[in-house]
Amino acid sequence: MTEQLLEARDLRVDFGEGREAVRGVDLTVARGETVALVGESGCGKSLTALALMDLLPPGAHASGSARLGDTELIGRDERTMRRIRGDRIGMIFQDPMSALNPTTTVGTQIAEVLAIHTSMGRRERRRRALELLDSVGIPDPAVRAKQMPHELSGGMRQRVMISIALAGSPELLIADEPTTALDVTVQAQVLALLRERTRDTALLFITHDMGVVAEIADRVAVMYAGSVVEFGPVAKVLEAPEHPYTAALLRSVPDPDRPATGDLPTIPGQVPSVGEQIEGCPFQPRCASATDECVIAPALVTTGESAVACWNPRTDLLSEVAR
Amino acid sequence: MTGQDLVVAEGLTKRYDIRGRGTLTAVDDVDLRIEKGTTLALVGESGCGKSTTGRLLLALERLSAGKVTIDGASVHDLGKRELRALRRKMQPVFQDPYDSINGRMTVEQIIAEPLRVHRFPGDLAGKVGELLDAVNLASALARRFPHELSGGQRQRVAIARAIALDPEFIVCDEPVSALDVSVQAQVVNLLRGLQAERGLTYLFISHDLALVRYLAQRTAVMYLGRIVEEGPTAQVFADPRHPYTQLLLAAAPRPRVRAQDKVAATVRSIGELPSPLSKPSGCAFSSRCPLATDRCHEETPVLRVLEDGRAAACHYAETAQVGAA
Repeated sequence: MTEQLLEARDLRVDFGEGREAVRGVDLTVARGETVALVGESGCGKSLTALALMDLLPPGAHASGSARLGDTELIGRDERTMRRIRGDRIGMIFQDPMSALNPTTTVGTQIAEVLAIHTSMGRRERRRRALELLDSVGIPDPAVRAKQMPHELSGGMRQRVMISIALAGSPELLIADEPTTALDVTVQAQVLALLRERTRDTALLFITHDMGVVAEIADRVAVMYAGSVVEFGPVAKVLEAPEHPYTAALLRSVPDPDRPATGDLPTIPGQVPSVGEQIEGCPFQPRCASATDECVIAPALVTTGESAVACWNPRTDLLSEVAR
Repeated sequence: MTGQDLVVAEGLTKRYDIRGRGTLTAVDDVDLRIEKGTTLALVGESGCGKSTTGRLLLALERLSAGKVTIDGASVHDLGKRELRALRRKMQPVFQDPYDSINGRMTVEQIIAEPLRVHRFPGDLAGKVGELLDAVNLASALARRFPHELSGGQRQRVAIARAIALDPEFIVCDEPVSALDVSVQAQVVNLLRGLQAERGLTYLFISHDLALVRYLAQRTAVMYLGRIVEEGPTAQVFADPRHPYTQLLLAAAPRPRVRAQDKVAATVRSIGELPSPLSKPSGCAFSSRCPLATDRCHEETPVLRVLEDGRAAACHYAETAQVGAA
């Protein structure tokens, strides 16, 4: 059994008055592993990530537990968390412009991060910054280091963010939709870079895109209405999803390799909104396999390598289902 | 069995003067034809000129050169009044309905607005009800404001408004890109259904190739302002002939784990789009093309029709295969 680096248990985020957005997330990430946290808007995947980093928006409050090695992350003071972020947890967001300083050259920004998280001298930091830029595939690092973020393309900016996130050699990297704003050819390049640069670093990758999940993840956790409904090895979840929501979501993804025949399958109904009272299984009102048991909320039950929260898990391959 | 072309664009060109930095040719000598009642998909990455092309077809921007005819009328040569009359026949649907609908109007008012402007003679409330029904929105939503709706519902409102005047041609510019996949599928199905019922003609602008396969009879691929490949969608997807199309298709994520093939590996080595202000000489794709030869750096390939009827702008279109060998 591999050692779990990150272990979240019953992690919750609420906006006061019992308005819960994350309703008890169980999640593990082993050392060196990439776990994708996937779901549609409002499912709580980004709030889960923000809770782990103690970066929740004002008014939101985290409870439950998330341990990074021996360290509890939930309910710590700001000073401790600031130390942990950067030192032990690196972060990459969808829009690098919001995380980079627009008035400072990218080389200086990387050097600043090194000043905080390492004991390197000034000259050594400069040299290391260029090395880092080179390591994320930025051509002419010496030239690029002197440029401002706005002088770089979106793909290049995301590469700079990756180099900054890795500068402190963190144990865990959390990336929230890091390639969503990029064109597909650039996305493929950035995903390949992330794969290569996180071989020894645990990566929690937040995305809405099942195609990206297939490209990057070792294991995938599917979220629906604030909780994880299925968690398992990526090939298993994509080919033989056990939860009816996972299967329905996968079927609604158009596939460029399949000739189009008829309408795209859809999921009837709507996602429950944040804070809405949920009785029983959250997917039950939209589920084609719902039975009487589903009025009671199913727990996430682990069997072997996979876990599913469903009373009537599927046992067939997705490819056998009529599309 | 070829029908009549509703939309014909010839030599479509749009240049912008960028102060101190020269001229940016966003759309460069583009020819397009869309058969009545069908969908042409226009695909490519950001900055390729696909949105500008859509705006030029609707006369939302002035042409630098070329000609657009819709149902025989030369769109850019019409007087104000004639153009206004023609606008009933052609409508846009954009990615973010917030950009195109007034947030202070109710759903009912938003859908009724084009009808009022064009002095709809019948029962306005009844017509709005019909339109809500056509896009599968509950009539209870009529009094709501856009911010009270979900993204998918807002896009349905935008579609209802676009079809209010019974147009013939709709330019859909990334209409589902901001939506979740399950909602995306609903809106795509709606667009298909409306086309079948009303005989609508679509230009469907998208960066998402997988989606295009469900919607478009024909697909055109753009790169740096030019069409590099155009043909029946099934043909373009099954056997792309331009190296750029081949790489674009290989780069599109699939919802399943697949073996790493050579084309996908090549995608990672082609770098990023050059600045549209300094396009490479010869073929615009030559700076990134793994198959480029000296000829490609010197001679700009024309978009030529291949034996199977599709067109490609590559000197080696017949044999080009990225990742072979």
